[in-house]
Amino acid sequence: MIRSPSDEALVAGLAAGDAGAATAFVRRFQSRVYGLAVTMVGDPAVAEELAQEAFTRAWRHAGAYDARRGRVATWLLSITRNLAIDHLRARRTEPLDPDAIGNAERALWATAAPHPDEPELGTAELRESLAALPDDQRRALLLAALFGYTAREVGEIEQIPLGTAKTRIRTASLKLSQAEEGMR
Amino acid sequence: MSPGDHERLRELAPELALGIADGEERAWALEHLADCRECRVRFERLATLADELLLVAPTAEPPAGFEARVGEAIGTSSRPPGRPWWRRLALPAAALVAAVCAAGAVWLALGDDRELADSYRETLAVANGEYFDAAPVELPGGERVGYVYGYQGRASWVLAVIYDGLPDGRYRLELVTGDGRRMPLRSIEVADGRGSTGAVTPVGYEELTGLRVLDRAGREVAESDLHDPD
Repeated sequence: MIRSPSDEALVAGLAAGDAGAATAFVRRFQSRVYGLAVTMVGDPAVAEELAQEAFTRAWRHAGAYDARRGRVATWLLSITRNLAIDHLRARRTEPLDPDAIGNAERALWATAAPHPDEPELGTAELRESLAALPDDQRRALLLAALFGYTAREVGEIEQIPLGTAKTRIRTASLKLSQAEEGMR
Repeated sequence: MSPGDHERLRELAPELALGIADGEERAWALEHLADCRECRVRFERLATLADELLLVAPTAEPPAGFEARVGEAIGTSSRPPGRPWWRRLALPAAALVAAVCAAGAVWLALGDDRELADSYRETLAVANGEYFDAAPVELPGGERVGYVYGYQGRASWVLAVIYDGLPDGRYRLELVTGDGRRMPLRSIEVADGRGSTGAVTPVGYEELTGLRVLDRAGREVAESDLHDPD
């Protein structure tokens, strides 16, 4: 059986300018990158542009990737998230579509098969912990984690005081972190 | 460092890990984390969680032709994969040194360059420095509005200089690392089209890949691709 190269090997190939590694890298992660982008911005055309830019940036900075700081998937998705947040912030003068968060939240629970070459990411437990959070805490956390809203903005969207927004974000984060710790 | 600082960090850590703490809070927190191992361990756990949350997002197949378009964007770019300029210069520099050795007569003619190199080395040696760098700051359209000068050493630092092309006002600067982290630098005040600011960087300069210039609303108005002299 031929084993697929590891994520780290693909990044190393990307950094070295290996066209085959670049193609395999894009093929392996495109559904994750595009999936995150479209979840965050909602617009498929914009999501495609952002996903393309995320891969271009990954290619340009592949030499700086440090496996000690995290796995390849989270590195690439962080790049995607930052690009999507920049796009969303540029539009922050427009009022938030009240359906956007609900749609994104529903999409989070939708299951889709990752690329067969992609290593098991072990996110089932995290999904469960997220689902177990009280609705208001989960919404506050997702507004911050996926949409980049600050605690003040979360407060405005949810029509709650700043202190309450901060508490919801903090409590949700700590609960998930403790649940993760308990599983190790 | 007071006991209250640990408590303040504890409260701030989730927002910091999610990348939504404001500039001043982030600057304070990063300073505290640099000196407090206990808080750093707690923060790193939350930062890992923030990253893992991205893995929970659903996957979706991009439109047909996406892979080819990305390949084209990468393949047609004139820029090779990110390699610090000093590494790109390594081979040509070695060839130059070999040529100089072979042609002893040229040695004397290069006296000024040797003095410059000696002076450069002495300056770097002051703080265990490894190299200096300079990269342009550009608007999204590619128009150059300034430069970032960087130093990799025991204490790494950057100096950002805007000389033209940005409307007057206050801008936030943000450093970007190769693994996607963003960290605030000082703000820069642009008056009559000019402004400058600098600071010691919270990580080594070699770990940085970019500097972003943000307006008051947090929108990126210009950026610099560090280690890129083009």
